[in-house]
Amino acid sequence: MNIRTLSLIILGIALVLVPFVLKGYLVFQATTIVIYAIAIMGLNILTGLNGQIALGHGAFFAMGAYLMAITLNVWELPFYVGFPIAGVACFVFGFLFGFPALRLEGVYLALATFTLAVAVPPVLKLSFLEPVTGGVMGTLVPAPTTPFGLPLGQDQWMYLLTLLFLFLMYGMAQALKSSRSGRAMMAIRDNPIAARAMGINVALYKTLAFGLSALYAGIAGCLSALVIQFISADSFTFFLSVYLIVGLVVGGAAWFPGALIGGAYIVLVPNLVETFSPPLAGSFYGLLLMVMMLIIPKGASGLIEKFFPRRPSASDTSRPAPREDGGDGPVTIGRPGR
Amino acid sequence: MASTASGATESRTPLLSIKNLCIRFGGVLALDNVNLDISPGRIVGLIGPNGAGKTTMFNCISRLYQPTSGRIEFAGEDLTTSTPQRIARLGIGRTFQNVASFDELSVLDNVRIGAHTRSTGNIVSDMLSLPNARRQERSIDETAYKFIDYLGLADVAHSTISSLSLGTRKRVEIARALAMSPRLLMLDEPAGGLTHSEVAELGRLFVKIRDDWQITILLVEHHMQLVMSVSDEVTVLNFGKNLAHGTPSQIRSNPDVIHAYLGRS
Repeated sequence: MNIRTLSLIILGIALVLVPFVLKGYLVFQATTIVIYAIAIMGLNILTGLNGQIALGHGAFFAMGAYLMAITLNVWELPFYVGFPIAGVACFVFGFLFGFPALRLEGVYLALATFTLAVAVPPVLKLSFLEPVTGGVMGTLVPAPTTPFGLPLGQDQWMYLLTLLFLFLMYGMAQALKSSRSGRAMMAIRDNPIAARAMGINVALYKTLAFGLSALYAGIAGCLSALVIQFISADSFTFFLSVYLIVGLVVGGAAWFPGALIGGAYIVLVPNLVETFSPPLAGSFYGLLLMVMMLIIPKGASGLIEKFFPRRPSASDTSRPAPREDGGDGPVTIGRPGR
Repeated sequence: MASTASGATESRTPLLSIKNLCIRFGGVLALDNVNLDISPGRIVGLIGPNGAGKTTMFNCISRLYQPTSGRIEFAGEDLTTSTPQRIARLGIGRTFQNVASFDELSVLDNVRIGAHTRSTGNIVSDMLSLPNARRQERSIDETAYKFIDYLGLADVAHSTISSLSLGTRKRVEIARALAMSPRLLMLDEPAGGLTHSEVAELGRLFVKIRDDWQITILLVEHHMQLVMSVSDEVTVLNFGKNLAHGTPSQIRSNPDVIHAYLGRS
């Protein structure tokens, strides 16, 4: 076991212990951090693995939150049914939105997705949707009670539920990264023309990455509805999408544990700068972000890479044994190595 | 060494058959009624002065460009309406003129990506690490390590491409193309930027690839010595048209070719 795996396991244990060490509002804050981390991991699939930039994931977050509220309030189904409903709906919506995105790159794609983030909140406020969405006033979301009579407080239970989703979705993102599909996404990021020549279906993997990142944002939205127990269109402004991008940049691209650092940044730093100087909080926030970008342009993942350079990982041991039949030695051209 | 496969293959139907291929970019006819037949098991050199249309022809075959007219048949199947995925699956692998690697990834991952079309799977089983995805991954790894060893890349298997020299990157590209288990390997200026001794080794490698894996090779190259020493046949393009086709010695003494290259009348 290498040092990276070990530190991830320790981090995982520490995360489980959080609600038993911290109290009250701090547990709520920790829950919010984990929720954002899930959404940021999704963005990282899109941006980190696939190289697409999207500014509209607040819309998918909102969609997840509203679908959870509708599941509970309108359809009167148990909360755990809300996750698959929202997950599938956001995936399909994101997948379909990915098609027009195929024709756009870089800033143009960012702008197109930006329209999504701007367009969704007013739609949620429409009066004829009021029975479903609660309209301008928003709607209350009943919190699920602690199951199996576990001796947990409401906030502890919600934190652990959120953390369970973080672990599951981290595992899936990590599995994706080292799989055939994940490599296809990274190939498209690094060199779309070569990826095509390798027989990779570029359109398919780009839209899949879009759908997946929407699914992650949607699940985060579901959890946020349950934790805050209230949703309104004003909770999902365009700024939510921007904060998710900030969290992504701070955490670093294509390194999923960075999402937690990104989540912590977007939850904690606004409060921190508020204590410095309330009227200038926004300015301090911006200044801090600029300094961060100067010191660690690659985000937290760059910092980790610097101090714990990646050694040949455990996957080396999976290397097939050399062939017994020998054959000719390898042909070498030029100097081996660098 | 260049004639090991000739004779026996002469009468077989061509693996790749290009008929009256034309492509127009605006007012420029980049390829003008080009014809080329490549028999299986041959190493065919494709030469011509700069701008003759060599790379354009590669891009037509691998479906990065859409030809204006003409036919490209591979093993009897018309490629002009196929997708790039289909081309890769049929068994046409290629390298690129200025090296097109996946720079942020390791050598191992680059070669694994070459095996993409030789494997199947779906994103759900990949994300859940289902048994079929893991089985697939093992077979991809086996293929990748086979070609990493074949090209002597074992020492750098875990290095990121961006940290490697040009010569090594070119080997990675060849390993990646071989992982596609191609029947036709198209090499676009593989010797560009390499030292004299590296070029000589490259030539031996091409013949070895052909002999070890029965892969037909189409080689675009400016390095005349390399082309003439490894090719069974050489075809010459000039201004998008066929200029000559024959054995290396025929081409070397062809007056039209000498004229095109040296500009003497």
